[in-house]
Amino acid sequence: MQKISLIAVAIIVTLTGGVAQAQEQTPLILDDAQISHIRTRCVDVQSFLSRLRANDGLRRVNLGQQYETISTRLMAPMNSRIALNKLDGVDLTKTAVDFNTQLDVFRESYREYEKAITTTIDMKCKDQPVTFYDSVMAARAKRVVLKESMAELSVLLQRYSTQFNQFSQTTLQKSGESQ
Amino acid sequence: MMGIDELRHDAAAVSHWAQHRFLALVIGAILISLFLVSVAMSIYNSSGAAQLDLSRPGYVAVRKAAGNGDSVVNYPSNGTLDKAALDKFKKLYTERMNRVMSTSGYEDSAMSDDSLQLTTPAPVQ
Repeated sequence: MQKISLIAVAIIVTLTGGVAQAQEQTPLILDDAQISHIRTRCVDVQSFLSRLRANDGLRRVNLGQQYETISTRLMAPMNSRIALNKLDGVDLTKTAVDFNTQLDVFRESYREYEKAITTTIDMKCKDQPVTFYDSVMAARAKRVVLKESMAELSVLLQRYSTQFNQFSQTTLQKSGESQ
Repeated sequence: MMGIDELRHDAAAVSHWAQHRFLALVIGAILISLFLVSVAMSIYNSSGAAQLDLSRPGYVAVRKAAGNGDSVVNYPSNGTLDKAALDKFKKLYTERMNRVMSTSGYEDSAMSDDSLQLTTPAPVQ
């Protein structure tokens, strides 16, 4: 009897969980007027998204250069120099590793976002207005993830700066040099 | 011993291959090149190089603005860490960090429903 009760509870939990998940993922239900409006507007929206994609691509290239410069030409040489001088730079090294990991996340997020927005731009939106709207929402979600990864990189940059200032003060105090 | 018919048959077979070997060579070369191009394209797309390629169609307008005016930074990876070395690093790092932090990008609002005017029907005039 207990076994049956447990199975029943498990089934109920699974079903309610499934319903909750389905409710979370349910897209916005569009009425006929909205679908018609999307069909009218979608070509203009695709044109706008195309320009947005071009500007985002440029930003990706410029930001990528900056991030790469900071990682490979500043953080890495500084960490190497600290190690060669036999100083304690564990925190700085850890932050540099985290930064590189997050940089990979940023690259991947951008790749996903670009794929999503390109799908939206290339779609025959007048024939598939609802799919087009879903595609816009998907691209928007990827953009949010991309923005978050960029914010995380900024946090790590700031953290490295703070840690470097602490390291710098400690090193100068130990060596007897004053600022 | 081979009969005259067998000899004729062999001669026909050889001449058939001889007639088409140039065509086979061309088709083979095309197939190999198609295979290599498809491999190269898949690497180009999967490696992330495609996302940095502003020579693609649709990026013409912004191409010239890419990577202008960024001088190469070189901080030596060896040497003593005295005040001068630390100050130099701090200056270079802070400059780069501020440049990145001041860059706004990928704002959510650019793709909002309001911005795209997708879900709100235009007022009837």
